[in-house]
Amino acid sequence: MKRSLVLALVLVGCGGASHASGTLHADLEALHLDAAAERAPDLVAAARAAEADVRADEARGDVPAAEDDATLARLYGQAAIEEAARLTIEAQRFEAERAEIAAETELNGLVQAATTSAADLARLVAARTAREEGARSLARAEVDEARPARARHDSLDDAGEMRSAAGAIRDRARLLSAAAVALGAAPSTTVDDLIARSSAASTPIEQVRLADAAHAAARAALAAARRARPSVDPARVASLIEAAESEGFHTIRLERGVGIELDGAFDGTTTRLSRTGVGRLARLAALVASYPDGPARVEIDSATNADVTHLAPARGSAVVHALVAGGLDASRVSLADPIPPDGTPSPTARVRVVLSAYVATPPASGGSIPTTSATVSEPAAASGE
Amino acid sequence: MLVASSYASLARADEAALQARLEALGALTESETDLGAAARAAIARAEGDHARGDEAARARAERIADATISLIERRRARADAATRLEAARRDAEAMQQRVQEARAAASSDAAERARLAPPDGTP
Repeated sequence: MKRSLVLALVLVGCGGASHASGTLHADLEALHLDAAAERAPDLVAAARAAEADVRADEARGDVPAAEDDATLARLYGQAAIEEAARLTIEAQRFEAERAEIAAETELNGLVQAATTSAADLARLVAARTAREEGARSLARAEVDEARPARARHDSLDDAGEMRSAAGAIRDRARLLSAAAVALGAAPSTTVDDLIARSSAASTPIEQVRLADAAHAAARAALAAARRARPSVDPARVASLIEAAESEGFHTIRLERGVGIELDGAFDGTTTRLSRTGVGRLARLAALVASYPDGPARVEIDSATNADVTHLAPARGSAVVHALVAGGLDASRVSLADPIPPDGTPSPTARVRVVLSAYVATPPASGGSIPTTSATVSEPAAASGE
Repeated sequence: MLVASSYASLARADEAALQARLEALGALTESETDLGAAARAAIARAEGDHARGDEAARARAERIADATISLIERRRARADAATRLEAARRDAEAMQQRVQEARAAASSDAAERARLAPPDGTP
């Protein structure tokens, strides 16, 4: 086809042969112009018009004009094919780019999920370790309890671990119970009683058993409190998490709700908010205000036991005031009891705001609330107690 | 006389414009050489037709030159589009590969979460 086109062009100005329309029609048919008409209708129409001009030229005996119009018809026909092919390629390119955008969107979602997943995995690993340590301590304590009194002195270190574990479980029970109260439940005397009995128990094993019972009761109370309130659907929970992450906050799914964390809110070891902390708390207040369901409890992690009684309460008050100043309804904000150090690496100034109404996977029934906390699974041998 | 002179200037301007378009294409590839030669021949013929006073033939020659140059331009546009298509497909395939890797990582994470999950089934 290209050769015939060039031949036709060479004939320009040379007079050419008569009856140019004879070969022209066959040439245009060979181009399959009809197939190109959809994408390049103007050029196909121009080729057809030039072909009609050829016949008119021949009818009046104007051979040079017929040859020129035949050349034009071929050029327009070729151009139509090129244009149709180009537009087809462009359509394929748009499709490839659309597929790339779709893949990129999916990739971004996967990367975001991977970030959350990595944090979840780290917590699961920590929880599993704590769980295993608790179970080992419980097993050792049971063996120890069965020994004569003198032999028990061999396991003083284990007893210390047991007491620490019981204390950590009681702290979690208190947090869950407080979250239930924040959601409108009456304070649980059962939980308080079990916690008090655990603290007063004379043996480490009894402390752990009672602490675990308090934790289970607190979980049940929180589940009941959630069922009694209009639930926040999972999409809204996901929306909160996404909004918080996009604002640069770290989120954590706790059984007592979604926690939004920020570090470096305070200068050094003082109770004065850092300049960065003031700005971030203002953004956090605006974010929490836009998710108005349920209470917002401020939790302050402590690095030392001394922080629990002095530094953490003062910092908590500063955070509460900053959130209210930032536009958060004061009736929604409360300060949780300071969280004692649990032995895990923890920033000295981590602040966490927990939205109790936003639970990632609402329980269908009973007290089976998703949790990342360590629970002690009692061996069958201990069930007789 | 004045009108005829102006018309002649306009005709030269058209042919000069066609020549400029042809030169703007730069170096022609081997596959474009024949079309380039044909375009130049059509421009030269238009000038000759104008010199002979055959304005109808000159107009046809100019249309042929214009259509020939346009054909070269369209072929280049098609080739450029094909190049962009290849690049877009490569990018899409690379992105798809990253998605596959991320999916595999997510699947691995899910298995790890299942392995680490507490025995009571809570996540």
